[in-house]
Amino acid sequence: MFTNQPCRVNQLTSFDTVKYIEKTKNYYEAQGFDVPYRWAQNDSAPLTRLRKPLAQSRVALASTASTYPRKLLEHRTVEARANENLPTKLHGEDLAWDREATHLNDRGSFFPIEVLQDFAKQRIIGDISRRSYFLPTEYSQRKTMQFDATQVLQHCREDGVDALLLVPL
Amino acid sequence: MSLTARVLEESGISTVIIGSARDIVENCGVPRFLFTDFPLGNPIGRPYDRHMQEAVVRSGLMLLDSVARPQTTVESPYIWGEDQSWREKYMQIVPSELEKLRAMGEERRRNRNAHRNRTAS
Repeated sequence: MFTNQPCRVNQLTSFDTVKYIEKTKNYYEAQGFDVPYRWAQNDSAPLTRLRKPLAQSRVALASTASTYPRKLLEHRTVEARANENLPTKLHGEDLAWDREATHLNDRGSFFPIEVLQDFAKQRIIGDISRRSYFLPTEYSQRKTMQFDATQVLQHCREDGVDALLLVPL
Repeated sequence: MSLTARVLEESGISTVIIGSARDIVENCGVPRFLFTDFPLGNPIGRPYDRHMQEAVVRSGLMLLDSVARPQTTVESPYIWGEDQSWREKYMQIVPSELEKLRAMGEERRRNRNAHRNRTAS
């Protein structure tokens, strides 16, 4: 594991970045929740270098969206779905996202499988995993680490994935 | 998702995140992160703007080849549009809606408790 200081590059826009942690804390405090959510915090991160060039690597796609209208309080698990059987419409009813500013009607705006397919044809990437992975955003970090992440890892190994593109809504 | 990226990296699989909640992802600490400064929901780009979506994905994938240090954030140059009011409006607390927010909280707690009771029994 590397322990270098975080690297920030390309500060290109002049807008203030939205402070989602602060906004979320204030919003739920206003709803009467006394104990604020403690977001995961780490001072370092692991890094695995790509073992072969991107143009020879198998890439998979993971999303926090779901293939069906998932409910927040129901038992939610990781789903691995064959790309040829993906629904045109993906769902995010149980997730926090900006329902006033935008919508999820164009799958490509949050789940770029068609772009990846084109990139595979252009040999920008080697190929695409036969399956994509859908994992819920869990309140419990323990559950995410012990169950969901482990499940995604297992799916990646089964599918021979070299690199995973993760796109949270 | 950031936690999942960390687990995969520790297990030998390279990852890159494309996302719009910069503080949440950076707090968690991930190896490679393309930050797109868009409203939550469309981290890959504006709906139906295939040109933007392709450019964003390409930028994200390039990080897999180029990043040598973990916790690298690269900011996408694209902006959402001229109207930037979404930055303030998201989860905005308006004094006239405080009662409504409290009622929403009450309902959430009721539903959560009912769910706990159902799963415990």
